[in-house]
Amino acid sequence: MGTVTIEQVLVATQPVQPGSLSAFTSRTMRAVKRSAQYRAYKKRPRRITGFGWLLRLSPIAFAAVVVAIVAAAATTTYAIFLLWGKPAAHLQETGQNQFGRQQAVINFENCKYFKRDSAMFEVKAGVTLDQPELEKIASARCERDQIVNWVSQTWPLSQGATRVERGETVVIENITATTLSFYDSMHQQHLTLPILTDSRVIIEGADHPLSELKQGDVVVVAVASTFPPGGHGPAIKREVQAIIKLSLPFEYYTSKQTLLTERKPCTGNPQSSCLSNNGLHLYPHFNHNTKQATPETIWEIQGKLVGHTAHSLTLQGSGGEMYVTHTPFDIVNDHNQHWKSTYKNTTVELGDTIAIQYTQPASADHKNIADDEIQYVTLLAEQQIPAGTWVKY
Amino acid sequence: MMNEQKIINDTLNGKPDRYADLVERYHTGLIIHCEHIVGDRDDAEDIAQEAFIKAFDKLANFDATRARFSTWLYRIATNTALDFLRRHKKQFSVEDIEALAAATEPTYLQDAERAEVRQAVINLMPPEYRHVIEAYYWKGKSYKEIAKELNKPVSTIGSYARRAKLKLKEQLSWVQ
Repeated sequence: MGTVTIEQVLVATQPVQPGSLSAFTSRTMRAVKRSAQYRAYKKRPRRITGFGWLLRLSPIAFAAVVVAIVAAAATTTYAIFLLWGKPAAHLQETGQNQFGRQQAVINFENCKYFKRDSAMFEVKAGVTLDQPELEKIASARCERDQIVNWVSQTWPLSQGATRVERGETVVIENITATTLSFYDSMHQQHLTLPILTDSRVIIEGADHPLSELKQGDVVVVAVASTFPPGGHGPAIKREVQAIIKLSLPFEYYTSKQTLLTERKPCTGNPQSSCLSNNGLHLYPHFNHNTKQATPETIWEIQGKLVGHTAHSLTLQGSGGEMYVTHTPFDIVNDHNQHWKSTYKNTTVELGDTIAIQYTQPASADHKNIADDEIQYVTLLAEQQIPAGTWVKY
Repeated sequence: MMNEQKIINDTLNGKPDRYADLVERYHTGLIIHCEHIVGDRDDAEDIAQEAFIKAFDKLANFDATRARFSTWLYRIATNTALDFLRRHKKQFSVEDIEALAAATEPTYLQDAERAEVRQAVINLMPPEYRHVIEAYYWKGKSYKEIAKELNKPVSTIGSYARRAKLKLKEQLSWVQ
């Protein structure tokens, strides 16, 4: 190591920040977007479509491509994804964040679930995941989302008596030419459903014969349920509409999904980051005087609870900024006295992570939230399976 | 380690919003670098922003085989700061400015060195010293913002920072 100054060393040791954009970055990107270069970069490179690219190869390269295609077609490992692009997740970087948890930035291909090509995650407290595990858990989320979207688009919900449900992730217990048996994902209900002549079997994004499925395969089952006239009451008939094979072991779509929580810029407050997680509902418990809101006008803050009074909650956001929420009463004491039994006596304490969703304020001062702007106040909890076992985040 | 080459490739090929990752990663150090040169925080932020925009415009010309992105970016910022000083007709010597710039050029540490530095900061006493170091060098806050948080004069924050750095240098013998 050559000579370095203390300033250089301190800057070089800056911890990886959670998925939030500073005010400086937001301001700079607004200026960047006004530049002509932004528009130039935004144009995607010209894609060579069809087989035109083959004609541009040298004879040797052309021959190599032909050999590769013939060899691949001769094996059973070559798969064409006809129905959707195969999702993939690649770890960009991982390390420990300021909250003492492992965090990871993962890049995606063919993944619409996260609505962008890259996402930041926090790992469950006390857990460390290596690169293969991180990538499998993230890609499993994308894969399942791809499949559920395909089912929804292929069999859109209708007003008729029959509708196709989006599909549970299950393990095949038994499969014949005419029936499929499995336990539901919580292993509480055992089902045997008829397979129809036109039931589809999808493996690696393409239609395959039923004979390629076997006991133990992890699948999504799209079930067509027919309801009585008027639509009231349980389904009178349930049949398999499609069976879609998944690529990873069962736990990657179920229990391991609780290990990763996405952290992203808070809606309306990108200078702070928010976890995409649920928790214990603290407020309101009854109708209260809240401004009308649509999903587009609901903003969010999250942070450590640093104070509460008879008429306020104060949170410290991920970047250290303070948010004050004015409340009609002391929400924390109210929960601890009257509502904690709903959540196995889990109380709210200073230092807990709280999320507040509120109506987009009319004023610019989003760090002070009026009590009639509050939509929900939530005590964040770790994702748990089975649901109902509460562990604070 | 952030895959910078991928971010640059994505930026140039249809995803220019990826550039925000580079801005977020480097803006704290770059603003400190500019502040060392021009002596004013607000001016430093303007210069740093101008440097990021210039780097964005010239990104297609960046050659990763010749330098790291940060080295290239900081060079743009130093030149922008020199232009600023000339525009405001401030008396300065280029050699002095280059020496100031060198003191805050980016450097890269091994994991063990980073851990040692972080532990030394965590162990800093009194706690105000630690707060100032974390807020200024790791969270990108100005002395003015830190002064408001701690309810102290800006000059006191500067004094805390100087004393904190002296203490850290005592702990970290390999630092100049």
